[in-house]
Amino acid sequence: MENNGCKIKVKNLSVWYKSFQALREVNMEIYPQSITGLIGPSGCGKSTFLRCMNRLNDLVASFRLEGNIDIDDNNIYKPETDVVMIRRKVGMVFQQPNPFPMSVFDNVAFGVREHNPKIKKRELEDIVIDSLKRANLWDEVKDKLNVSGLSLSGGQQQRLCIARVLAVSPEIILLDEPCSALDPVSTAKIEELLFQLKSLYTVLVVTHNLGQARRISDYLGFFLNGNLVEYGKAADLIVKPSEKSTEDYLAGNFG
Amino acid sequence: MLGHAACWLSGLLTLFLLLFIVIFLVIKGIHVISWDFITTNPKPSLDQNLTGGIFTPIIGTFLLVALGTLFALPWALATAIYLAEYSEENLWAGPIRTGIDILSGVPTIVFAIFGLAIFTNPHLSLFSTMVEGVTNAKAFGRSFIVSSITMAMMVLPFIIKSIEEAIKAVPSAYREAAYGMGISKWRTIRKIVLPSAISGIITGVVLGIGRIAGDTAIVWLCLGGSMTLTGTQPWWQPQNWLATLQNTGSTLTTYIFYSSPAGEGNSPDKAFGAGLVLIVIILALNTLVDYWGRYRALREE
Repeated sequence: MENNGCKIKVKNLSVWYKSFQALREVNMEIYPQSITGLIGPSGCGKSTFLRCMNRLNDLVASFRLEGNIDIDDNNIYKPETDVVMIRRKVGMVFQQPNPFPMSVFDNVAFGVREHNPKIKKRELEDIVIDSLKRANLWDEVKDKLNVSGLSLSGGQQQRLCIARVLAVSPEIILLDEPCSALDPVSTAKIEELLFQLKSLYTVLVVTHNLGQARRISDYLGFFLNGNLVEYGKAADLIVKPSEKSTEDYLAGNFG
Repeated sequence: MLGHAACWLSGLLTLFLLLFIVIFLVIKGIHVISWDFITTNPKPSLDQNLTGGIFTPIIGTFLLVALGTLFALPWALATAIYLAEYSEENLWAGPIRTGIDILSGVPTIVFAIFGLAIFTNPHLSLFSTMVEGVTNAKAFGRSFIVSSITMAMMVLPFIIKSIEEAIKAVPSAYREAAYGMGISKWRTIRKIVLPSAISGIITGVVLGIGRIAGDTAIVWLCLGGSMTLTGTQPWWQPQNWLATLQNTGSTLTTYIFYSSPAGEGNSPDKAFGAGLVLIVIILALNTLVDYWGRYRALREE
Protein backbone atom coordinates (compact mmCIF):
# COMPACT_ATOMS: atom_id res chain seq x y z
CA MET A 1 0.00 0.00 0.00
CA GLU A 2 1.14 3.49 -0.70
CA ASN A 3 1.15 5.30 2.58
CA ASN A 4 4.10 7.50 1.64
CA GLY A 5 5.50 7.13 5.13
CA CYS A 6 2.58 8.59 7.03
CA LYS A 7 1.52 7.09 10.36
CA ILE A 8 -2.07 8.28 10.45
CA LYS A 9 -4.18 8.86 7.37
CA VAL A 10 -7.48 10.67 7.85
CA LYS A 11 -9.92 10.41 4.95
CA ASN A 12 -13.14 12.44 4.61
CA LEU A 13 -13.64 12.59 8.35
CA SER A 14 -16.94 14.15 9.42
CA VAL A 15 -18.22 14.15 12.98
CA TRP A 16 -21.58 15.06 14.48
CA TYR A 17 -22.77 15.51 18.05
CA LYS A 18 -26.52 15.06 17.65
CA SER A 19 -27.26 17.37 14.72
CA PHE A 20 -24.27 19.65 15.27
CA GLN A 21 -21.50 18.96 12.77
CA ALA A 22 -18.15 19.32 14.54
CA LEU A 23 -15.86 18.23 11.69
CA ARG A 24 -16.40 18.53 7.93
CA GLU A 25 -14.66 16.18 5.51
CA VAL A 26 -11.23 16.50 7.00
CA ASN A 27 -8.34 14.93 5.11
CA MET A 28 -4.92 14.80 6.70
CA GLU A 29 -1.77 12.74 6.70
CA ILE A 30 0.24 12.72 9.90
CA TYR A 31 3.90 11.77 9.89
CA PRO A 32 5.92 9.79 12.40
CA GLN A 33 8.89 11.20 14.30
CA SER A 34 7.40 14.65 14.17
CA ILE A 35 5.18 16.98 16.11
CA THR A 36 1.96 17.97 14.42
CA GLY A 37 0.31 21.02 15.96
CA LEU A 38 -3.42 21.63 15.68
CA ILE A 39 -4.52 25.24 16.07
CA GLY A 40 -7.71 27.24 15.72
CA PRO A 41 -10.20 29.20 17.80
CA SER A 42 -12.32 27.55 20.51
CA GLY A 43 -14.97 25.23 19.16
CA CYS A 44 -13.24 24.79 15.80
CA GLY A 45 -13.12 21.01 16.12
CA LYS A 46 -9.44 20.49 16.90
CA SER A 47 -10.03 18.69 20.19
CA THR A 48 -12.77 16.58 18.63
CA PHE A 49 -10.32 15.67 15.89
CA LEU A 50 -7.71 14.66 18.45
CA ARG A 51 -10.18 12.53 20.39
CA CYS A 52 -11.11 10.66 17.20
CA MET A 53 -7.56 9.29 17.05
CA ASN A 54 -8.01 7.07 20.12
CA ARG A 55 -11.79 6.75 19.83
CA LEU A 56 -12.32 8.56 23.12
CA ASN A 57 -15.32 10.23 21.50
CA ASP A 58 -17.05 6.85 21.58
CA LEU A 59 -17.89 7.69 25.20
CA VAL A 60 -20.17 10.51 24.04
CA ALA A 61 -23.62 9.03 23.40
CA SER A 62 -24.60 11.48 20.64
CA PHE A 63 -21.31 11.08 18.74
CA ARG A 64 -21.50 9.99 15.07
CA LEU A 65 -18.66 9.67 12.59
CA GLU A 66 -18.22 9.21 8.86
CA GLY A 67 -14.98 8.62 7.01
CA ASN A 68 -11.82 6.70 7.82
CA ILE A 69 -8.88 7.02 10.14
CA ASP A 70 -6.11 4.63 9.18
CA ILE A 71 -3.31 4.03 11.64
CA ASP A 72 -0.58 1.98 9.99
CA ASP A 73 -3.05 1.29 7.16
CA ASN A 74 -5.70 -0.09 9.53
CA ASN A 75 -9.01 1.71 9.78
CA ILE A 76 -9.54 2.11 13.52
CA TYR A 77 -13.29 2.65 13.04
CA LYS A 78 -13.79 -0.79 11.48
CA PRO A 79 -16.57 -2.52 13.47
CA GLU A 80 -14.32 -5.40 14.56
CA THR A 81 -11.65 -3.08 15.98
CA ASP A 82 -10.67 -3.65 19.61
CA VAL A 83 -10.90 -0.13 21.04
CA VAL A 84 -8.80 -1.06 24.06
CA MET A 85 -5.93 -2.14 21.79
CA ILE A 86 -6.14 1.12 19.83
CA ARG A 87 -5.84 3.11 23.03
CA ARG A 88 -2.75 1.20 24.08
CA LYS A 89 -1.13 2.21 20.84
CA VAL A 90 -2.38 5.81 21.04
CA GLY A 91 -1.65 7.44 24.39
CA MET A 92 -3.30 10.65 25.54
CA VAL A 93 -2.40 13.55 27.80
CA PHE A 94 -5.18 15.89 28.89
CA GLN A 95 -5.58 19.61 29.42
CA GLN A 96 -5.86 19.38 33.20
CA PRO A 97 -3.15 17.20 34.76
CA ASN A 98 -5.11 14.17 36.00
CA PRO A 99 -2.86 11.79 37.91
CA PHE A 100 -4.71 9.00 39.70
CA PRO A 101 -5.16 9.34 43.47
CA MET A 102 -2.31 6.90 44.15
CA SER A 103 1.44 7.08 44.64
CA VAL A 104 3.82 8.42 42.00
CA PHE A 105 5.14 4.90 41.44
CA ASP A 106 1.67 3.36 41.13
CA ASN A 107 0.54 6.07 38.74
CA VAL A 108 3.17 4.94 36.25
CA ALA A 109 2.95 1.24 37.12
CA PHE A 110 -0.83 1.04 36.92
CA GLY A 111 -1.20 0.69 33.15
CA VAL A 112 1.77 -1.66 32.88
CA ARG A 113 0.34 -3.95 35.55
CA GLU A 114 -3.08 -3.89 33.93
CA HIS A 115 -1.68 -4.89 30.55
CA ASN A 116 0.73 -7.45 31.95
CA PRO A 117 -0.50 -8.68 35.36
CA LYS A 118 2.28 -11.27 35.65
CA ILE A 119 5.13 -8.80 35.21
CA LYS A 120 8.11 -9.31 37.53
CA LYS A 121 8.67 -6.68 40.21
CA ARG A 122 12.17 -5.91 38.96
CA GLU A 123 10.98 -5.48 35.39
CA LEU A 124 8.12 -3.23 36.47
CA GLU A 125 10.50 -1.04 38.46
CA ASP A 126 12.76 -0.71 35.44
CA ILE A 127 9.86 0.40 33.27
CA VAL A 128 8.66 2.92 35.87
CA ILE A 129 12.12 4.40 36.35
CA ASP A 130 12.77 4.50 32.61
CA SER A 131 9.41 6.20 31.94
CA LEU A 132 9.99 8.79 34.65
CA LYS A 133 13.43 9.49 33.21
CA ARG A 134 12.08 9.88 29.71
CA ALA A 135 9.44 12.27 31.04
CA ASN A 136 12.24 14.36 32.65
CA LEU A 137 10.69 13.80 36.04
CA TRP A 138 12.97 11.21 37.63
CA ASP A 139 15.36 13.63 39.31
CA GLU A 140 12.49 15.48 40.96
CA VAL A 141 10.57 12.45 42.27
CA LYS A 142 13.17 9.72 42.83
CA ASP A 143 13.02 10.29 46.59
CA LYS A 144 9.25 10.45 46.78
CA LEU A 145 7.98 7.58 44.67
CA ASN A 146 5.60 6.64 47.48
CA VAL A 147 3.94 10.01 47.94
CA SER A 148 0.60 10.67 46.28
CA GLY A 149 0.76 11.84 42.66
CA LEU A 150 -1.69 14.58 43.65
CA SER A 151 0.90 16.15 45.96
CA LEU A 152 3.19 17.12 43.06
CA SER A 153 3.11 20.58 41.45
CA GLY A 154 0.95 21.10 38.37
CA GLY A 155 3.87 20.86 35.97
CA GLN A 156 5.21 17.75 37.67
CA GLN A 157 1.74 16.21 37.59
CA GLN A 158 1.54 16.78 33.85
CA ARG A 159 4.94 15.14 33.31
CA LEU A 160 3.76 12.30 35.53
CA CYS A 161 0.80 11.89 33.19
CA ILE A 162 3.21 11.79 30.27
CA ALA A 163 5.38 9.20 32.06
CA ARG A 164 2.27 7.15 32.70
CA VAL A 165 1.50 7.16 28.99
CA LEU A 166 5.10 6.35 27.99
CA ALA A 167 5.12 3.38 30.37
CA VAL A 168 2.62 1.46 28.27
CA SER A 169 4.80 2.05 25.17
CA PRO A 170 2.44 3.74 22.74
CA GLU A 171 3.41 4.68 19.19
CA ILE A 172 1.34 7.83 19.00
CA ILE A 173 0.91 10.45 21.74
CA LEU A 174 -2.01 12.86 21.73
CA LEU A 175 -1.81 15.99 23.85
CA ASP A 176 -4.88 18.19 24.32
CA GLU A 177 -3.62 21.65 25.31
CA PRO A 178 -1.16 20.07 27.73
CA CYS A 179 0.24 23.38 28.99
CA SER A 180 -2.85 25.55 29.27
CA ALA A 181 -3.09 24.95 33.02
CA LEU A 182 0.64 25.44 33.65
CA ASP A 183 2.97 28.32 34.41
CA PRO A 184 5.64 29.41 31.85
CA VAL A 185 8.50 27.49 33.47
CA SER A 186 6.55 24.24 33.55
CA THR A 187 5.40 24.91 30.01
CA ALA A 188 8.99 25.25 28.84
CA LYS A 189 9.86 21.94 30.47
CA ILE A 190 7.00 20.16 28.71
CA GLU A 191 7.95 21.70 25.36
CA GLU A 192 11.51 20.56 25.80
CA LEU A 193 10.24 17.10 26.66
CA LEU A 194 8.05 16.93 23.55
CA PHE A 195 11.10 17.82 21.49
CA GLN A 196 12.95 14.84 22.92
CA LEU A 197 10.00 12.51 22.44
CA LYS A 198 9.36 13.18 18.82
CA SER A 199 12.28 11.08 17.65
CA LEU A 200 10.50 7.99 18.96
CA TYR A 201 6.81 8.77 18.64
CA THR A 202 4.21 10.41 16.47
CA VAL A 203 3.12 13.42 18.48
CA LEU A 204 -0.09 15.41 17.99
CA VAL A 205 -0.60 18.55 20.05
CA VAL A 206 -3.69 20.71 20.24
CA THR A 207 -2.69 24.16 21.40
CA HIS A 208 -4.22 27.53 21.95
CA ASN A 209 -0.84 29.10 22.26
CA LEU A 210 0.44 30.29 18.88
CA GLY A 211 3.92 30.82 20.26
CA GLN A 212 4.00 27.23 21.39
CA ALA A 213 2.70 26.02 18.05
CA ARG A 214 5.52 27.92 16.35
CA ARG A 215 8.20 26.65 18.72
CA ILE A 216 7.44 22.95 18.69
CA SER A 217 5.52 21.99 15.54
CA ASP A 218 6.96 20.39 12.43
CA TYR A 219 3.54 20.38 10.79
CA LEU A 220 0.61 22.64 11.53
CA GLY A 221 -3.08 22.27 10.85
CA PHE A 222 -5.45 25.22 11.16
CA PHE A 223 -9.07 24.38 11.94
CA LEU A 224 -12.02 26.73 11.59
CA ASN A 225 -15.71 25.82 12.05
CA GLY A 226 -14.98 22.14 11.65
CA ASN A 227 -12.95 22.56 8.47
CA LEU A 228 -9.27 21.90 8.14
CA VAL A 229 -8.53 25.20 6.43
CA GLU A 230 -4.87 24.72 5.90
CA TYR A 231 -2.29 22.06 6.66
CA GLY A 232 1.40 21.86 5.88
CA LYS A 233 4.96 22.29 7.08
CA ALA A 234 4.85 24.58 10.11
CA ALA A 235 7.55 26.89 8.76
CA ASP A 236 5.70 27.46 5.48
CA LEU A 237 2.28 27.87 7.04
CA ILE A 238 3.44 30.44 9.53
CA VAL A 239 5.50 32.50 7.11
CA LYS A 240 3.25 32.30 4.12
CA PRO A 241 -0.30 31.11 4.86
CA SER A 242 -2.24 30.59 1.66
CA GLU A 243 -5.66 31.29 3.16
CA LYS A 244 -6.88 34.67 4.35
CA SER A 245 -8.50 33.20 7.52
CA THR A 246 -5.23 31.50 8.54
CA GLU A 247 -3.39 34.77 8.10
CA ASP A 248 -5.98 36.61 10.20
CA TYR A 249 -5.82 33.98 12.94
CA LEU A 250 -2.04 33.98 13.04
CA ALA A 251 -2.06 37.76 13.15
CA GLY A 252 -4.34 37.60 16.18
CA ASN A 253 -7.27 39.27 14.44
CA PHE A 254 -9.61 36.67 15.98
CA GLY A 255 -9.25 33.74 18.33
CA MET B 1 -34.59 40.14 60.71
CA LEU B 2 -37.52 38.23 62.17
CA GLY B 3 -37.05 35.44 59.63
CA HIS B 4 -33.39 35.21 60.49
CA ALA B 5 -34.20 34.91 64.19
CA ALA B 6 -36.88 32.27 63.60
CA CYS B 7 -34.47 30.14 61.55
CA TRP B 8 -31.72 30.50 64.16
CA LEU B 9 -34.17 29.55 66.89
CA SER B 10 -35.29 26.45 64.95
CA GLY B 11 -31.69 25.37 64.57
CA LEU B 12 -31.05 25.87 68.25
CA LEU B 13 -34.20 23.95 69.10
CA THR B 14 -33.02 20.98 67.03
CA LEU B 15 -29.77 20.92 68.95
CA PHE B 16 -31.67 21.08 72.25
CA LEU B 17 -33.92 18.26 71.10
CA LEU B 18 -30.92 16.01 70.65
CA LEU B 19 -29.37 17.11 73.94
CA PHE B 20 -32.68 16.59 75.68
CA ILE B 21 -33.02 13.01 74.41
CA VAL B 22 -29.45 12.13 75.33
CA ILE B 23 -29.57 13.78 78.75
CA PHE B 24 -32.94 12.19 79.50
CA LEU B 25 -31.57 8.76 78.56
CA VAL B 26 -28.48 9.31 80.67
CA ILE B 27 -30.47 10.42 83.73
CA LYS B 28 -32.93 7.56 83.45
CA GLY B 29 -30.52 4.85 82.38
CA ILE B 30 -27.06 5.52 83.72
CA HIS B 31 -27.64 3.97 87.14
CA VAL B 32 -28.40 0.50 85.73
CA ILE B 33 -25.27 0.46 83.57
CA SER B 34 -22.53 -1.70 85.01
CA TRP B 35 -20.18 -4.38 83.77
CA ASP B 36 -22.73 -6.93 84.95
CA PHE B 37 -25.54 -5.29 83.03
CA ILE B 38 -23.57 -5.55 79.81
CA THR B 39 -22.25 -9.07 80.30
CA THR B 40 -25.19 -11.05 81.72
CA ASN B 41 -28.10 -12.52 79.80
CA PRO B 42 -31.64 -11.21 80.26
CA LYS B 43 -33.75 -13.29 82.61
CA PRO B 44 -37.55 -13.25 82.79
CA SER B 45 -38.74 -11.96 86.14
CA LEU B 46 -41.46 -9.80 87.58
CA ASP B 47 -38.91 -8.06 89.78
CA GLN B 48 -36.93 -5.54 87.79
CA ASN B 49 -33.83 -6.17 89.89
CA LEU B 50 -33.77 -9.82 88.83
CA THR B 51 -34.16 -9.32 85.07
CA GLY B 52 -30.46 -9.60 84.35
CA GLY B 53 -28.54 -7.70 81.67
CA ILE B 54 -28.40 -7.10 77.97
CA PHE B 55 -25.59 -9.36 76.79
CA THR B 56 -27.55 -11.37 74.22
CA PRO B 57 -29.40 -8.31 72.83
CA ILE B 58 -26.02 -6.65 72.23
CA ILE B 59 -24.77 -9.79 70.47
CA GLY B 60 -28.03 -9.90 68.53
CA THR B 61 -27.61 -6.31 67.34
CA PHE B 62 -24.06 -7.00 66.15
CA LEU B 63 -25.09 -10.25 64.44
CA LEU B 64 -27.92 -8.56 62.61
CA VAL B 65 -25.78 -5.59 61.57
CA ALA B 66 -22.96 -7.82 60.32
CA LEU B 67 -25.15 -10.26 58.45
CA GLY B 68 -27.48 -7.60 57.08
CA THR B 69 -24.55 -5.57 55.75
CA LEU B 70 -23.01 -8.72 54.29
CA PHE B 71 -26.17 -9.35 52.27
CA ALA B 72 -26.87 -5.73 51.36
CA LEU B 73 -23.41 -4.45 50.40
CA PRO B 74 -22.55 -6.58 47.32
CA TRP B 75 -26.09 -6.15 46.03
CA ALA B 76 -26.12 -2.38 46.58
CA LEU B 77 -22.61 -1.95 45.21
CA ALA B 78 -23.42 -3.78 41.98
CA THR B 79 -26.67 -1.85 41.53
CA ALA B 80 -24.97 1.48 42.19
CA ILE B 81 -22.22 0.68 39.69
CA TYR B 82 -24.85 -0.17 37.12
CA LEU B 83 -26.78 3.06 37.72
CA ALA B 84 -23.74 5.33 37.83
CA GLU B 85 -21.61 3.80 35.09
CA TYR B 86 -23.74 1.79 32.68
CA SER B 87 -27.35 2.93 32.83
CA GLU B 88 -27.01 5.73 30.25
CA GLU B 89 -26.90 3.14 27.51
CA ASN B 90 -29.98 1.38 28.76
CA LEU B 91 -33.75 1.71 29.04
CA TRP B 92 -33.79 -0.05 32.40
CA ALA B 93 -32.35 2.86 34.34
CA GLY B 94 -35.69 4.69 34.70
CA PRO B 95 -37.71 1.78 36.13
CA ILE B 96 -34.84 0.76 38.41
CA ARG B 97 -34.50 4.28 39.79
CA THR B 98 -38.24 4.58 40.37
CA GLY B 99 -38.19 1.18 42.06
CA ILE B 100 -35.44 2.28 44.42
CA ASP B 101 -37.31 5.49 45.28
CA ILE B 102 -40.48 3.58 46.10
CA LEU B 103 -38.55 0.94 48.03
CA SER B 104 -36.99 3.64 50.20
CA GLY B 105 -40.45 4.83 51.16
CA VAL B 106 -41.83 1.42 52.18
CA PRO B 107 -42.37 1.24 55.97
CA THR B 108 -40.19 -1.38 57.64
CA ILE B 109 -43.20 -3.20 59.10
CA VAL B 110 -44.26 -3.96 55.50
CA PHE B 111 -40.84 -5.48 54.78
CA ALA B 112 -41.28 -7.44 57.99
CA ILE B 113 -44.62 -9.07 57.15
CA PHE B 114 -43.31 -9.73 53.65
CA GLY B 115 -40.20 -11.44 55.03
CA LEU B 116 -42.27 -13.49 57.43
CA ALA B 117 -44.70 -14.53 54.68
CA ILE B 118 -41.88 -15.63 52.38
CA PHE B 119 -39.76 -17.45 54.91
CA THR B 120 -42.52 -19.45 56.57
CA ASN B 121 -42.64 -21.37 53.27
CA PRO B 122 -41.55 -24.91 54.26
CA HIS B 123 -39.09 -25.05 51.32
CA LEU B 124 -37.20 -22.18 52.92
CA SER B 125 -36.89 -23.83 56.32
CA LEU B 126 -33.12 -23.86 55.75
CA PHE B 127 -33.14 -20.18 56.76
CA SER B 128 -35.00 -20.73 60.01
CA THR B 129 -36.36 -23.98 61.48
CA MET B 130 -39.25 -26.31 60.79
CA VAL B 131 -42.26 -26.05 63.04
CA GLU B 132 -42.88 -29.50 64.50
CA GLY B 133 -46.28 -31.05 65.05
CA VAL B 134 -48.48 -29.06 62.68
CA THR B 135 -50.57 -30.70 59.97
CA ASN B 136 -49.42 -28.41 57.18
CA ALA B 137 -45.66 -28.30 56.94
CA LYS B 138 -44.48 -24.82 57.87
CA ALA B 139 -41.14 -23.15 58.55
CA PHE B 140 -40.88 -20.97 61.62
CA GLY B 141 -39.85 -18.01 59.45
CA ARG B 142 -38.07 -16.21 62.26
CA SER B 143 -34.31 -16.25 62.63
CA PHE B 144 -31.21 -14.10 62.35
CA ILE B 145 -30.82 -15.13 58.71
CA VAL B 146 -34.42 -14.25 57.85
CA SER B 147 -34.29 -10.90 59.60
CA SER B 148 -30.88 -10.08 58.07
CA ILE B 149 -32.17 -10.73 54.56
CA THR B 150 -35.25 -8.62 55.29
CA MET B 151 -33.04 -5.88 56.77
CA ALA B 152 -30.86 -6.02 53.65
CA MET B 153 -33.92 -5.37 51.47
CA MET B 154 -34.92 -2.49 53.73
CA VAL B 155 -31.53 -0.70 53.70
CA LEU B 156 -30.78 -1.44 50.05
CA PRO B 157 -32.20 1.79 48.58
CA PHE B 158 -30.32 3.98 51.07
CA ILE B 159 -26.99 2.26 50.49
CA ILE B 160 -27.47 2.25 46.72
CA LYS B 161 -28.18 5.98 46.64
CA SER B 162 -25.19 6.98 48.72
CA ILE B 163 -22.81 4.71 46.79
CA GLU B 164 -24.18 5.97 43.49
CA GLU B 165 -23.54 9.56 44.58
CA ALA B 166 -20.01 8.63 45.64
CA ILE B 167 -19.26 6.99 42.29
CA LYS B 168 -20.67 9.93 40.37
CA ALA B 169 -18.49 12.30 42.39
CA VAL B 170 -15.30 10.62 41.10
CA PRO B 171 -13.83 13.09 38.56
CA SER B 172 -14.43 11.95 34.99
CA ALA B 173 -10.81 12.91 34.31
CA TYR B 174 -9.74 9.73 36.14
CA ARG B 175 -11.93 7.62 33.90
CA GLU B 176 -10.77 9.35 30.73
CA ALA B 177 -7.15 8.91 31.74
CA ALA B 178 -7.65 5.20 32.30
CA TYR B 179 -9.64 4.66 29.11
CA GLY B 180 -7.00 6.64 27.26
CA MET B 181 -4.40 4.12 28.41
CA GLY B 182 -6.34 1.20 27.02
CA ILE B 183 -7.85 0.08 30.31
CA SER B 184 -11.27 -1.51 29.86
CA LYS B 185 -14.32 0.06 31.44
CA TRP B 186 -14.74 -2.72 34.00
CA ARG B 187 -11.09 -2.59 35.08
CA THR B 188 -11.30 1.20 35.30
CA ILE B 189 -14.28 0.88 37.64
CA ARG B 190 -12.56 -1.79 39.73
CA LYS B 191 -9.13 -0.22 40.02
CA ILE B 192 -9.73 3.53 39.73
CA VAL B 193 -13.34 4.51 40.34
CA LEU B 194 -14.23 2.33 43.34
CA PRO B 195 -11.00 3.04 45.28
CA SER B 196 -11.57 6.77 44.71
CA ALA B 197 -15.14 6.47 45.96
CA ILE B 198 -14.25 4.43 49.04
CA SER B 199 -15.13 7.02 51.66
CA GLY B 200 -18.57 7.53 50.09
CA ILE B 201 -19.08 3.78 49.99
CA ILE B 202 -18.22 3.56 53.68
CA THR B 203 -20.64 6.38 54.44
CA GLY B 204 -23.34 4.35 52.71
CA VAL B 205 -22.50 1.30 54.76
CA VAL B 206 -22.60 3.25 58.02
CA LEU B 207 -25.95 4.69 57.03
CA GLY B 208 -27.16 1.13 56.53
CA ILE B 209 -25.68 -0.02 59.83
CA GLY B 210 -27.45 2.78 61.68
CA ARG B 211 -30.75 1.80 60.13
CA ILE B 212 -30.33 -1.90 60.85
CA ALA B 213 -29.25 -1.31 64.44
CA GLY B 214 -32.14 1.08 64.99
CA ASP B 215 -34.96 -0.84 63.33
CA THR B 216 -37.55 -2.54 65.51
CA ALA B 217 -40.43 -3.72 63.34
CA ILE B 218 -38.38 -6.23 61.33
CA VAL B 219 -36.71 -7.62 64.45
CA TRP B 220 -40.05 -7.84 66.21
CA LEU B 221 -41.68 -9.91 63.43
CA CYS B 222 -38.77 -11.72 61.82
CA LEU B 223 -36.64 -12.48 64.87
CA GLY B 224 -39.35 -13.07 67.40
CA GLY B 225 -39.70 -12.40 71.07
CA SER B 226 -37.13 -14.52 72.85
CA MET B 227 -34.63 -12.44 74.80
CA THR B 228 -31.77 -14.94 74.66
CA LEU B 229 -30.26 -16.75 71.69
CA THR B 230 -32.32 -19.88 71.07
CA GLY B 231 -29.92 -21.90 68.91
CA THR B 232 -27.91 -24.85 70.22
CA GLN B 233 -25.98 -23.83 73.34
CA PRO B 234 -23.34 -22.71 74.01
CA TRP B 235 -23.94 -20.38 71.08
CA TRP B 236 -20.36 -19.08 70.88
CA GLN B 237 -18.86 -22.41 69.88
CA PRO B 238 -18.19 -22.56 66.12
CA GLN B 239 -20.15 -25.79 65.60
CA ASN B 240 -23.25 -24.01 66.89
CA TRP B 241 -22.90 -20.79 64.87
CA LEU B 242 -25.15 -21.94 62.04
CA ALA B 243 -27.80 -23.07 64.51
CA THR B 244 -27.60 -19.71 66.27
CA LEU B 245 -28.20 -17.90 62.97
CA GLN B 246 -31.07 -20.25 62.06
CA ASN B 247 -32.73 -19.54 65.39
CA THR B 248 -34.00 -16.46 67.13
CA GLY B 249 -32.87 -13.96 69.71
CA SER B 250 -33.28 -10.28 70.35
CA THR B 251 -31.58 -6.97 69.65
CA LEU B 252 -31.30 -3.87 71.77
CA THR B 253 -34.37 -2.40 70.07
CA THR B 254 -36.65 -5.37 70.78
CA TYR B 255 -35.13 -5.60 74.25
CA ILE B 256 -36.27 -2.03 74.84
CA PHE B 257 -39.71 -2.86 73.48
CA TYR B 258 -40.14 -6.00 75.58
CA SER B 259 -38.78 -4.39 78.75
CA SER B 260 -40.51 -1.06 78.65
CA PRO B 261 -43.97 -0.67 80.16
CA ALA B 262 -44.79 1.24 76.98
CA GLY B 263 -44.22 -2.05 75.17
CA GLU B 264 -44.78 -5.33 76.91
CA GLY B 265 -42.52 -5.25 79.96
CA ASN B 266 -42.12 -3.85 83.39
CA SER B 267 -38.42 -2.98 83.65
CA PRO B 268 -38.36 0.67 82.52
CA ASP B 269 -34.90 1.38 83.95
CA LYS B 270 -33.37 -1.52 82.05
CA ALA B 271 -35.08 -0.25 78.88
CA PHE B 272 -33.51 3.19 79.32
CA GLY B 273 -30.15 1.58 80.02
CA ALA B 274 -30.38 -0.43 76.82
CA GLY B 275 -31.42 2.70 74.89
CA LEU B 276 -28.35 4.49 76.17
CA VAL B 277 -26.07 1.61 75.15
CA LEU B 278 -27.67 1.52 71.67
CA ILE B 279 -27.10 5.25 71.14
CA VAL B 280 -23.51 4.97 72.34
CA ILE B 281 -22.84 2.06 69.94
CA ILE B 282 -24.29 3.94 66.94
CA LEU B 283 -22.42 7.15 67.84
CA ALA B 284 -19.18 5.20 68.29
CA LEU B 285 -19.55 3.55 64.89
CA ASN B 286 -20.22 6.89 63.21
CA THR B 287 -17.26 8.55 64.88
CA LEU B 288 -14.93 5.67 64.06
CA VAL B 289 -15.85 5.74 60.39
CA ASP B 290 -15.65 9.52 60.28
CA TYR B 291 -12.10 9.45 61.66
CA TRP B 292 -11.10 6.68 59.31
CA GLY B 293 -12.42 8.67 56.34
CA ARG B 294 -10.47 11.76 57.39
CA TYR B 295 -7.33 9.72 57.94
CA ARG B 296 -7.61 8.30 54.44
CA ALA B 297 -8.25 11.73 52.91
CA LEU B 298 -5.17 13.09 54.69
CA ARG B 299 -3.02 10.25 53.45
CA GLU B 300 -4.11 10.82 49.87
CA GLU B 301 -3.11 14.47 49.77
